[in-house]
Amino acid sequence: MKNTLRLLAVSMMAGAAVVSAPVHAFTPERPLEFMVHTGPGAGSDVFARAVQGLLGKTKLVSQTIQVSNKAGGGGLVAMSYLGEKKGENHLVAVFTGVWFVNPQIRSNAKFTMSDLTPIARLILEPAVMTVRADSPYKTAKDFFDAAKANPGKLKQSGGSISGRDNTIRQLLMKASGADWQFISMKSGGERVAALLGGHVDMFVMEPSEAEEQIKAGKIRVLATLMEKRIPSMPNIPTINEQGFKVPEVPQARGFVGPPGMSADAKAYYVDVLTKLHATKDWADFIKENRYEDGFLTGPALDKFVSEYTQTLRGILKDAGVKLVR
Amino acid sequence: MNLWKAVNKSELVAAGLLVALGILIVTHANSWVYLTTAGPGPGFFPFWTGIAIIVLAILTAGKHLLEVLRRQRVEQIKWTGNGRVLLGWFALAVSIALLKPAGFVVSYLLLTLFLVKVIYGRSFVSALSVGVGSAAGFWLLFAKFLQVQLPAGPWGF
Amino acid sequence: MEMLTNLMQGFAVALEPMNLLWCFIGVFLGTIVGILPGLGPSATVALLLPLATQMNPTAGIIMMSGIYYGAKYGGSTTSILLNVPGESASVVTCLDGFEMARNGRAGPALGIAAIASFIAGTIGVVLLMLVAPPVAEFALRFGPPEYFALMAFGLSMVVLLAGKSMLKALLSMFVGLWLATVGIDMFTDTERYTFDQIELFDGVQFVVVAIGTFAIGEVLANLGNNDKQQMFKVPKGLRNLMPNWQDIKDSRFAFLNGSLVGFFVGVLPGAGSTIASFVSYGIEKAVSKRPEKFGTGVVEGVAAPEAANNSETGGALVPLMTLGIPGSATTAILLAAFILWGLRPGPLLIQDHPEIFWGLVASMYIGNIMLLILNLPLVPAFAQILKLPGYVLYPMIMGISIIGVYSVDQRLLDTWLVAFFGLLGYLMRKVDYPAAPLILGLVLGDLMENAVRQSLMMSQGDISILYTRPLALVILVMTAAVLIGPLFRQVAAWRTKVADQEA
Repeated sequence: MKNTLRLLAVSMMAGAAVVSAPVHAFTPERPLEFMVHTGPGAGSDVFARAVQGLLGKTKLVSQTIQVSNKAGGGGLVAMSYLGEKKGENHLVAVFTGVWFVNPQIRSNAKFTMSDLTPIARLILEPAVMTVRADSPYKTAKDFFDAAKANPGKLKQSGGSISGRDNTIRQLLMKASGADWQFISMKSGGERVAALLGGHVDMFVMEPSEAEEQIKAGKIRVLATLMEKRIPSMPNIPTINEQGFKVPEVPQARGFVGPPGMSADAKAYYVDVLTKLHATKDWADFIKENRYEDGFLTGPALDKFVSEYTQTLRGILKDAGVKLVR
Repeated sequence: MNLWKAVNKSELVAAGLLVALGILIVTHANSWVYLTTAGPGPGFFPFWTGIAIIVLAILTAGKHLLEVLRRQRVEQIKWTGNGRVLLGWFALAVSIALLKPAGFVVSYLLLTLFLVKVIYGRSFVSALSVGVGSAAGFWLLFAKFLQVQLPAGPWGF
Repeated sequence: MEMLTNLMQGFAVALEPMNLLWCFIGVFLGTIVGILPGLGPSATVALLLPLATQMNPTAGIIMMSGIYYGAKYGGSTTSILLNVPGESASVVTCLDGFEMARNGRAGPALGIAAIASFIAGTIGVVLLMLVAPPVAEFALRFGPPEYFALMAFGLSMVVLLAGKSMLKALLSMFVGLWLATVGIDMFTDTERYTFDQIELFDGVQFVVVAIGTFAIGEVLANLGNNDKQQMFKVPKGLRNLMPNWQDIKDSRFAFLNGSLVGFFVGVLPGAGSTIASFVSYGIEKAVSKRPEKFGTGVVEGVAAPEAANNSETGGALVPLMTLGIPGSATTAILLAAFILWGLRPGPLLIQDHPEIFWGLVASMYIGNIMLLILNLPLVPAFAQILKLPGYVLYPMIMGISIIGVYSVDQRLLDTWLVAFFGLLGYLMRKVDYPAAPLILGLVLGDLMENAVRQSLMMSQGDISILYTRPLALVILVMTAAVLIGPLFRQVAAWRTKVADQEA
């Protein structure tokens, strides 16, 4: 009797061990490659290197990670490169909004996000609407009213016409019925300098940039362009709170794999990133950079991919950008 | 005086090519928006650049012809060593074509061998030592020490 | 004086053994990176980002800045010795530097480059220390119309770079301006002259054109010569390998000119060190007593651009440190590093973290001295490279060129383009079309077109915005002076001739 019980106990434990063992049919055998569609130093590159550093620090990955830059074509070179490495399990890339926009406006894009293997969305970068501290606008409505009184005279600095800044501008103009100019500038430094120097009236900034300028008393934030108020600026009302219905268009960053990546490899990356997401280092990283946690994997992620594509499609059409797909 | 003989044909060819380039530039520029309410469009600058190139090229050719007429003889451009230059350039082009299949080290080695032996006319030993020495040196310095990514062939380097 | 106390504290920080070590590592790495063509400080700094974020911020910023300004020292080496621009700003150094090497004065050229870099680097730091905040505020007044005026001023340098045929120089410049339009237009997302190649969406890389026309063009030209001898004469004796007092005396104004121009251009976000070098070279030629000698190997033609591209680093740090705005690719990475350290560069950085700012400033003084000590003794060593026979050196130049352009973006297209521009460079030499205006047009074309379109968008089509703003007007007047200046000289010469005839 005792023997049978013992046997039962042992076999139950053995059974439990088999069931709960991590199903890592995939473990990396070579160094991993994190590919970035920008040159060194740009947003995605820094993000990739930060993740690389944190994964190294928390020892979540057994192999070394190399960050490779495949800049060019406004992101298309990287997408094509990833798309052509079918079935490669040691390569992932950092995706941002550009990965959704490009296939829709460039006819030589060969792949779309749905062709690739999205792994996880990690963060969202919020946006805030800022003006100079010495300008007469205290709320978003002030700015919109001024714009309506002087159509086309007020100016906003930003990046390319298909980038996030202009997307947000289109949404704001639609919601408020006002109209103002968009001045594209090549580098982030020029755009901020244009605002500070009084050459433009408004700029959409990220909270981390805005904070220092606010502390120094140089700029004023009119509204947060997200659904909810952001933790680092609890006193700034959202644009919706101020009475303007504007959907949020956050800059998302995450990882995507090549088409045909094995299910085991994908599970591996999802697992690693999920574990990273749970660490304190990651929480600190998000807090430091004033990001929003936007962790999504699996079916929720796939839903995001298709919805985001559609949302951007509508916005681009409204903005008058030619769509090819 | 035979005008045709005295003229530097290369000058005229160069001017001609530039005019052709200018025309190409302008034709493409015409397919884009020239002026929008918000200022010049993408076609504005290329259009005027193309026009400038066409005008200046014609002026340059004209100036040259005038000079020939005035001085009755102009210093001819010496096209010596054309064969060697073209050969050398083709060698470069071939080695670049080989970068993807064979990797940097091998294609550079072949290029050096060719240049030293065929164009500079040194001995095979010289060619080999220069080629191997510099190829290895580059590989060690760039690929190994500095971790610069160089095109690698199927043999790993 | 409060500044003096701050500086003393800064030195206390900078002279700590660990910080000294990281400073040395940074400037050493920077020198190597600078010497190697194509590889730039931005890529190296980015590569070291994960490492730097594990270090303490002061040591990290000291090291990364060391790489940044160290690279500017090394950039002149291959420009002078091999006509291969080490980095974009060194293109101008090639003009007189390589000629000096041809005349057997490679050593003095390298030496003057190092000395100019030292003087300008130091002046850059002094200016950073003394006038950073007010200069930053002043720089904010530069909007698109002012950038346009500055670019117009830069392009007017063509007049000074023209040499024999103004028409051909202008043609070269316009071709450069056209090349600058290749790519996606950011205002309308139109693809211009890309012929459906996605790799051309970002335009033709400047480094590729520069290395192609200068370096490969030079190699091809040499292949055409029947000369199988050694490349150039290398004089014996240490005295001939270093700049002599006459050289230093000749470069006096260039040191000052380069330092100031470089610093102020560096403060403007997006302007870049290439413009600084062209403008200071142009100014030097304009005020020189022997302008016709420029391009044949005058020492101040090396001193001015080298000074400019070094003090530019000091200038580029101004908007970063005082306003949190990155002015160039490398400063953008430094900004990212700050954020990863949990610091926030902005107007309050200097107040909240004085030890970082003053530690950095002090370490830059030390770093420049280290670089002078590192680079000067290397001059005779480097000059010996020219002793190698042509058949060794020229294939190596081709090799370095390929490596250099490939290291920028790892694209084979760039290697094809460098071969194409090499052939073009050779042909241009033969038919006497100068290459420098091509490069100038390529660099400035983009910025100028953007500035014009941005300005007109701001004024809704009213072109007067370009010349009614006071700052822009001043620069435009200077531009006009540059353009009309040579005419005055010609008129004066003509009048003297007439006077002589009548006498």
